Amino acid sequence: MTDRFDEELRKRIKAEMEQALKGWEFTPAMAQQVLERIAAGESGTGSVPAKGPTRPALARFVRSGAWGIAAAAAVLLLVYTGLDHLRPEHSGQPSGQVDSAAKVQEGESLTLFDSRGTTEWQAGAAAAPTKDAVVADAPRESKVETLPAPPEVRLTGTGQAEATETGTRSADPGEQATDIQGDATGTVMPTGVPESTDPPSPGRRICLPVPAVPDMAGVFGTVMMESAAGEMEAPAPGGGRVERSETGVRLVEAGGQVLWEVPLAGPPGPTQLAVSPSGRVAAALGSRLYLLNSTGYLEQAIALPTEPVEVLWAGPDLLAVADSDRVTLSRNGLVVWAVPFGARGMAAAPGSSLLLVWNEAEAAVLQVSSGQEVWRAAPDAAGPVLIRGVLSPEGRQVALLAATDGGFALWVLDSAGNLLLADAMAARPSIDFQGDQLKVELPDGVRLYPLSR
Amino acid sequence: MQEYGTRVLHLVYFYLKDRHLAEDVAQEVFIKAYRNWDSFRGESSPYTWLHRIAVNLCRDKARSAWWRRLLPSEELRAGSRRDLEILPPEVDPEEAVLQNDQRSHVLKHVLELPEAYREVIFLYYYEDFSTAEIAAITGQNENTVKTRLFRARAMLKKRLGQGGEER
Repeated sequence: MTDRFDEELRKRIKAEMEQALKGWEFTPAMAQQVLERIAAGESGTGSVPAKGPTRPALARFVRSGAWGIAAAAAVLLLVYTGLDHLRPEHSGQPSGQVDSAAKVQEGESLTLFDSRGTTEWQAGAAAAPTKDAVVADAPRESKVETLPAPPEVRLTGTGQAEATETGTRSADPGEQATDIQGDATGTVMPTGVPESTDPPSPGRRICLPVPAVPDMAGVFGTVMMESAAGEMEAPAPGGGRVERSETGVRLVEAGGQVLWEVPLAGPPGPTQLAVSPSGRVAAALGSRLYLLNSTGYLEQAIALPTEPVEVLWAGPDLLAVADSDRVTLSRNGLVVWAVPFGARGMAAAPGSSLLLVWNEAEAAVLQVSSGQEVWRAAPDAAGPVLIRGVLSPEGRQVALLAATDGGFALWVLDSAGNLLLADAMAARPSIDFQGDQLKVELPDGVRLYPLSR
Repeated sequence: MQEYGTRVLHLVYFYLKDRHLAEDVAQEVFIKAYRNWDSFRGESSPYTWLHRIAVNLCRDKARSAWWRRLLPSEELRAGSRRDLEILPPEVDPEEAVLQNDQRSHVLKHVLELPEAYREVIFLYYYEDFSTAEIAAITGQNENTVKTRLFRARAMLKKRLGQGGEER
């Protein structure tokens, strides 16, 4: 072993390590998370003694120059521990509790990473709209908005849209006030829509067996589809396709040549796959979300609180992730908003600013920009189970398909929630928008429904 | 944390090869350091002490099954797209390393080493610790460290010279 080899090896390792990890540092946000975890009494690992530090130990700790600032911030954190729940995304919040569709203002860097993967996407200290974060890093003031209750639409089989009083599902002003909580300085911060707004009326939301083959694929065309061979794939720009491989994803051009293949983890590969119009790929594997650019370079790996039900590009750089509790929209790894809707499917359209989300019982249309709910619709009887939603290319109409006891029910609404069409059919149709028409393909032929009013 | 945070972060990454896990475990290092500050006797530098904590935490983490499925990292995959040039067998492996250009990605091969060897390579070549210091950090006998270092270098030399996996 020569010295020359040693020197070169040292030089290369240092250079490549620095190049590979350039700009990746232990940030103030990470330091803040350490303080929060200490304040929360977290042990870090099982090997950490459960007993907390003694006062002499703490004093020694504080005397250390490296830890002085940290200790001071920890004390401040303890003071404001009770305010943790005011965060837009709070770890440990009961899943059944309705939180706000918290909107984070552009550029406020609400970081989402929680590499433990056990809690909500967390707000980083650099810009988290909490007082403790402000103390630690003096960021800009964040804003948490309570979104007004949207109109509710009931779907009926008679073609009549039935607008209901939001009060039947939303809290009145008095109720809402009870859910507003103040911080230590007396500033009132709304926590969001009161819990009483969201629970459905028991008569209408009885869970029925899901139809045997629910189709959860969206209309956006970029959402994953299961091919006949059971392979997951999504069309890519240029006529190719991105598909699941045994361990990751690969881009296959129209001619069948594999342009790139990226291993993500062991079999069976990703469970969710979506490709943006620009070719960016989002692949979910368990509770991990991987974002790749169009050349296959891994841009980000994100730890999600739970395994997503669906991922969908709602814009060139806006990724919607649905899980059993909520729909979250993020841009480049930063949470833009989250709404408490346990979606089973989502649909977006390139020319639309709307996002359609649905589950077996109800569907909602959200503003992509803010998460504001435009309307929410549910069948007026317990029988139908929503199995598919389609958004027209410009987002002007929404089609909802439900399985019923005797067949299928189809409703079409406009973007304001007005019911345009209600129909029933014995066989499961394939539905798609063509201009201002809805094309419904059935075993016995094709029906075209004009939708212009 | 300000002084050592990034170094600890990079150390942890070298073990776990996953940035987000590394960020989490690096935080755990400081939590554990905080909780065990009373046991720090000042016999070594705080940095060495933090390293020891980090190494132990990484070993714990590496044993857990949920971590193992998260490989490989983006750096590994970036490297995999720029494989080493395969040199003729008569070329001296040491020379082969030196002849490879900056695309050689030594790091990729280092990261593919078994943990025990990766550990000593990182601490010796990147952190510039002596074998005695490495022994203190890892809790190994110094001779064991020297042996591992020797073997790790041999593995690297072979891999880099062949431009592929060691057989």
